This record gives sequence, structure tokens and C-alpha cells, in this order.
Amino acid sequence: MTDNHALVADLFRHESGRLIALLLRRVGAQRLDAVEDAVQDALLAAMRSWPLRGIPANPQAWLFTAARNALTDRFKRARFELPEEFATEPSQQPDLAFAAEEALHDDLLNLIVYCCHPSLSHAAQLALTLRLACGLSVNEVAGALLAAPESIAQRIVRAKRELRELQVDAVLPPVRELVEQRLPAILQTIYLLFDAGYLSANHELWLRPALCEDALRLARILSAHPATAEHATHALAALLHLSAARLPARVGVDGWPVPLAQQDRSKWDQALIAAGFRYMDAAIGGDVVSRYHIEAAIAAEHASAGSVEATNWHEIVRLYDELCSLYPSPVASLNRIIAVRYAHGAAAALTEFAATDGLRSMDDSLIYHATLGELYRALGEQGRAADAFHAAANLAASTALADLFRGRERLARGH
Amino acid sequence: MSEFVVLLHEDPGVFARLSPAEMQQVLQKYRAWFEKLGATGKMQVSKKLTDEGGRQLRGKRGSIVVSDGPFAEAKDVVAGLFIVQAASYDEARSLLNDCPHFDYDGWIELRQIDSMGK
Repeated sequence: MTDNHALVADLFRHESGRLIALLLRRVGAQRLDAVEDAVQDALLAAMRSWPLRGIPANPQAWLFTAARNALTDRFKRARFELPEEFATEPSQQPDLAFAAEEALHDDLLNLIVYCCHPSLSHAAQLALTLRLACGLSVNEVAGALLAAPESIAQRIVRAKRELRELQVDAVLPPVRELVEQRLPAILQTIYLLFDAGYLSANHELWLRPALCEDALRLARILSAHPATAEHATHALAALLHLSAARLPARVGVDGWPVPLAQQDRSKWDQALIAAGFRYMDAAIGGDVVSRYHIEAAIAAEHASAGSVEATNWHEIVRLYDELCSLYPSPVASLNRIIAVRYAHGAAAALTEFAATDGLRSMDDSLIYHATLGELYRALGEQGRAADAFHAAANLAASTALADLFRGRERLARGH
Repeated sequence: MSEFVVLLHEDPGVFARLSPAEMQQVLQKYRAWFEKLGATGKMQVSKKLTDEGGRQLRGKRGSIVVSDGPFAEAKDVVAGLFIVQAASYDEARSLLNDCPHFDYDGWIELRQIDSMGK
């Protein structure tokens, strides 16, 4: 064996998305199922062949040729008409379009536009993006979204059927339509993709950073692509880079998430922070302040503070006020309360907590009870704190998180 | 020192539903194992067989019937082969004890190459 090539981490997953995007453009989205099967065939062939034959010098080109051949076979068996470029003998050389990185980004963008079609719900858009563009299996999508595999499978099948019946193709709409009507859903999907990696604690370890990295990668592609390089896109890229910078400090030695206040800030990734600030510069100047602008500004306040004490909490509260008035959501309100606690103290935060409409709708979420518990604890009301931590533990999606809050409950109860 | 042909049998259905990330994990496991074996200097040739199952030739001379190999339906096909050098079946077997093939419902056929009278 002449095998000196190392395999890039996530190669198969990324190639899955890239090959689906490449082939979909060539044969049209009506043939999505055949394309997915052909890409699966190609990856399986690589898995079974490379250990014995060695890793090829250009794994991407090998996979592309294998997928193209598999698709040709499937088309012939199904008696589908082959596009002209497939009718010629499959070549051993990667074709020229394959080599161009820009063309790849076009294809990936087309695929994401397809997955985020406005006829689909946000949940379906996200599931389809995870499946097709990020190369996750149905089970892995379910793990990322903390949902049952059966319901995710159903969601994906329905979404594909809907797009097929609407005869949606994986092509870019005119720029104006793309920017005004389609981009918001695309940005939101990437935001949720990042969240799925950032927040969830109960799936396999590799999946969490992988999803965050995918979200960063897609945000970078959208920021660099002339069709989507809008201010909101840059703002999203800024937010994701600044948030990702905290990831190395966010997981403790025991795998438990470390709250912002207790993070070792020397572990924050300075290169990502610098990139985040560059994207922030690019985000300035539009006439619309997106939620990503405001959230990026909040993340930037944290990124430039040396400690919790040195953080400009008054500015952060002001930004949350803006966020809550322009883009109200229960999560934003709750995060605002946390900022109020640091800016004005726990008593003020608890008063606002009680006075904030809409927070009640979150009383089935962990973060609601965790926040309440922290406020009671800071005020010395240990009994109420313990009850809140108890409720939080019962809502935890992972045993690690549940243990974390049971520990806090025990502390509050004084044993 | 004798030579042994190692035939890797597998059920092609076992891997069909793996996700891309899982496939890469399987690949890396096999690859690490083959690298380890290669480093002992005892592996000589390794070949992957094509997946379509090949052809089977049967009948009598003059009326040979060619049929497609069993890949699509079969639960057991030879996916690949390699040759190892070992003093005995026991030593050859010990080289294969930790082959990842056993983690994925595969089995291994070990055949000594006849070197009588060489």
C-alpha cells in the first residue's frame, strides 16, 4: 500500500453535502433521491476500498467520480434520461467545474436555498439543511435537534415531497427575491444550526463542534458570495465567530457546560474574535438593524471584556432592551434579566423577572428555572433556589446537565 | 515461512445505512488496522474486489453458462483479500485477531498457499 495521505476530519460528511450539491445542479432537484443514493454509494465504496487500496491522492476527485458513476448507473437502471455530460463515458479525471471553489460555493448556496424554501416550516428547513448540506443521517439530525428519529424522518420525507410537488429546483432565485424573501430564512437556519451545536448537550461529542463549524463555514460562504453578502449576513457571521470563540472555555473537564461568568477567558479563541470584529465592521452601514447585529454587539461586549466584573453590563442591558423591542422573544427577555442582574443586582432582576410578560411561556424550559434559581440564591432565598434548581434538573436534556442542577439544589438545601 | 490468503467475507447490507460520519469512522478503524499489520512487514498484497459481484461460470465445456455474481442479494460476498506471511495457521490467526472486520458481522476465510515441492 502506498498510503501516506491523512484523511481530513469530517471529510465524508462535508463531501456528502458537496456532492449532493454538485450532482443536484447537474440533474435537477426532481432527482434528489437518486442523487442521495448515489452519494451514499460513493462513500460506501470509498469506505470499503480505501483501507485495502490506500487513500487516493485526491480523495474528493475519487468520490466525485464514484458518485457520478453511481448516479449514471442508477439513471440507466431507472431509464431516466441522462444529462449530456453524463452520457459520455465516465472519466477518471475530475471535471473542470469540480475544481473551482467558487463553483462549489454556488452549488452549496443553491442547495441551501433549496432546503430553506419558503413553503417549508423553519423546523423542516433546518432538518433538511442538516440532512443534505451537512451530511447528517436522520438519526444524527434527530440527535442534533433533540427530537425523535421517527418524527425527523417524517419531517424530511414530507419536506422533500412538498418541494418535489411544487417542482422546486435547486437554483438561485433572482438576486432581489433571494435577498428580500429567501435570505432571512437561510440566515435563521444557519443561526439555528449553530445553536444546535452550541446548546445541546446530549448528543455525541463530535457532533457539537461539528455543527458549530458547519454553521461558521456556511456563514463565511454566504458573507463572501456576491449574491448574499448583505449587512445582516455579515452580522450573523460576526455573531457566530464571536460566540464560537468561547467554545473552548465552554466545556468543563467533566463535559459539563461552564457558564460565561466562570469561563477561563484565556481559552477564548483570539483568532475567531478578531474575525468576528472584522465581520462586524463589514456589517455596519445598512438601513436595517437585524437581530444578528444586536446579538453580535452583545457578544462583542463579552469578547472585549477581561472579566465578568470588567464587562460593560449597562451597555449589554441597553442592547437587550433594543433586541426585546425590535425582535421580542422569551429567550431575549430572559437573557436581558441575566444582564440586569449583573448591571443592577439580583433584587432588581427578580422584580423585572416578575414584571416581564411573556416569560411565563418559558416555564417549561431549563433556562427559566436555572435563572430563577440563580436569582434566589444571590438573594439568600435558599429554599426557593433549591426548588428552582430541582425543576431545572427535571427538565435537563442530558444526565450531565441534570447532575449539574441536582448539585446546585443540594448546595442550596445545605447538604 | 508460509503464505496465507486472507479472504474478507461480508454481508453487503451491514454498512448500507451508515451515515457519512460513521462511514469515515469505520474507514479509519480499518485503515489503522491495516497500517499496523503493514508495519509488521508480514502483509504482502492487498486487493479490493469490485462490488458488482463478478461472474460465475458453470456448465460443461461447450455449454458454459455465465451468470452475474451474487452481490445484490447475497448475505455473504468476498469483498477483499490480502496475503500474509506466517509460520503456521496459529500465527496467521493471531495476526487477524483484532481485525475490525469482526466488529461488523464480517468473517474471515484463511487459506494456506500450497508451496509443496517449490
